[in-house]
Amino acid sequence: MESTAIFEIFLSVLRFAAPLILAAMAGLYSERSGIIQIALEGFMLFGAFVAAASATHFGSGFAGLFCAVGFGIVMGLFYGFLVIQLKTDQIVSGTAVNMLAWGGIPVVSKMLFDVTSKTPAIDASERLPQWFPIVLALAVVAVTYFVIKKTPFGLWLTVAGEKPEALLAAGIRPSSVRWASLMITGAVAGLGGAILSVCLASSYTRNMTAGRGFMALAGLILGKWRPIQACGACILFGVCEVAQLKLQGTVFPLIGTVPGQLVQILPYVITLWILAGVVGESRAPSKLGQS
Amino acid sequence: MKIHRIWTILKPAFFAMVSVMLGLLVGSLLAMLAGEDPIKIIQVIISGAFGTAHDRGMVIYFTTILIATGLAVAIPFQAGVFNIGAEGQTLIGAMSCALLALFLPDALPSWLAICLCFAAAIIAAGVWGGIAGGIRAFRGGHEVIGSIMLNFIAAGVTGWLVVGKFQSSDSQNPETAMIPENLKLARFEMFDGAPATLAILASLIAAALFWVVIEKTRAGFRVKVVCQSPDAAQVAGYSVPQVRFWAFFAGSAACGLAGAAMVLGEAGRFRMEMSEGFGFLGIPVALLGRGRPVGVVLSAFLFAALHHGASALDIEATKVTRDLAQVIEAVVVIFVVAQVRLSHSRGAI
Repeated sequence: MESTAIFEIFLSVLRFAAPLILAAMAGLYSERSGIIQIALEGFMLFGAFVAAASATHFGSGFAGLFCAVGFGIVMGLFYGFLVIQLKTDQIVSGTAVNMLAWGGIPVVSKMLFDVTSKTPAIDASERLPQWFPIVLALAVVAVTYFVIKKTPFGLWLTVAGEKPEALLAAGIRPSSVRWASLMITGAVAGLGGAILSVCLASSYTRNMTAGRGFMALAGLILGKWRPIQACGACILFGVCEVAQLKLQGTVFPLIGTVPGQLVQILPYVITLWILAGVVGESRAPSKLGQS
Repeated sequence: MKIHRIWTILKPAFFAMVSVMLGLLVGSLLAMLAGEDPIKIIQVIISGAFGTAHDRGMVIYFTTILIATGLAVAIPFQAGVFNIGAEGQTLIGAMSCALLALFLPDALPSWLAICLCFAAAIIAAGVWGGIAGGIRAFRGGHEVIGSIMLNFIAAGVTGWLVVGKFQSSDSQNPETAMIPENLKLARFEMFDGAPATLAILASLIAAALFWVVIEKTRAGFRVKVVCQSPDAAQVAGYSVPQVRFWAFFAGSAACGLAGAAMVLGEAGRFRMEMSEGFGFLGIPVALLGRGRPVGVVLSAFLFAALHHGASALDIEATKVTRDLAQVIEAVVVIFVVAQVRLSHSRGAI
């Protein structure tokens, strides 16, 4: 009995962490190549909406995932157009993409479904199983680890973020690498949003990402821009979230109740500490934001 | 020569106008796509913003807040640092203001108590943002990441304080008890009960102070040098970290005005998550105003009118909602940021 309860808790941690892990991996590609990724939140929200809308339209959860990935690539290209082609400020452009998601999705949702708050529920038979996002997220981590460590593209990505001149000298345009990385970012972040609406819930609800894009960014920094560590950081976020839910109303001897809100913010406090260099060190790609 | 000078002043204003027009154009095209009459949508937004005395008062209230959060972004930008944490700084400012208002002794004269509440909000918001500014300036950690973390932490801490410590006993919502009646700012009578108060004056004074410091003082000169060339600033013997930190602190402190205006001017208490995105809206406000004091005031007014005017869409339009305003804002940001990049070198907005 006891072990199944622990297994249940373990699963709920991973379920919460899965979209975060995907978004953190998405951000990893972009940030390693030198482009700050504030727009993860917007990418995820678009992914969640597009996936739910197309899943109900085509009557298939997988169709939803594919459409979210496709739309994510389009948004990645749009963001690339702003920051690579027009060389606009990356933080402002990222904020603009987020605002486009916050405002644009309700407008389109109103057009398609006559409500801004929710898409129609996806048929239970078409919903993807609950284990699917966990496996997907861990698979993406493995692939990302392989790409970064073992492939030429992974090397180019790192060099584009650290020393773009060297890449140019080797005959590879840093901007091309960045375009590719932004497409991957869009696709994977879209997928992260999609599993929220298609796997972990039965429809898109208004603003359902609720800051997960920013959380993933925190996970990425906490994980020092490395795939395995970032995945671990996202799982830590999941642990704090689940602990927060379990702690509600629990009274401990001596200390009394532990406030859930304070457990929830623990990962952000740790990230802030690491950012300040108080504990450990998390060094950003040196050309981050300067490309 | 003279014409050239006039043009350098007018050019940003002209481009800002063009961006706003393009934003409205995209917005109305979207409304048309949804099956609404685009002219009618624009009319609804305008009459929603200025139609009645109450509407005009609401626009003044939102202007008060957006000047403050706009300054929160614009002031640090002068020193080349980006404050994306106005959301959390506003929450902390509002919370400090409300708690002080609840616990100040009744014997204090109202004017003094109100001044103290404003001071508490300003200092608390400044210190909160100063954490991210300090991490950037003295430890090299990116200020954008720092301020995003502080947004989360502010939401958590204020949420815990409201729900766990100071929850009002006569309310079902997560909010504190009402502050004493004599600490609420008097609403201008002409606006039919809308929360337009003297807080607007505080925001305007902050903008004026920003102008004076940047244009007329040695400190302002240092800030400009640090933004345009940190190397030159170092050679001149200015402490780049100090300048960046204080610019960030001053910007964050402006959010205290927004928090105080919300608590003392509108709600009369602290409500959970009462910043409602006004912090993020400070970014487009500062951008459209090109980080200049007058620009920030004007664009705060414009965004306030758009924000309040669009809420009329919920009632008077059937196929679009107030969310259209945010699309228009996003499009304006994209056009402004593209122009800025095309016409300026890096660093300046």
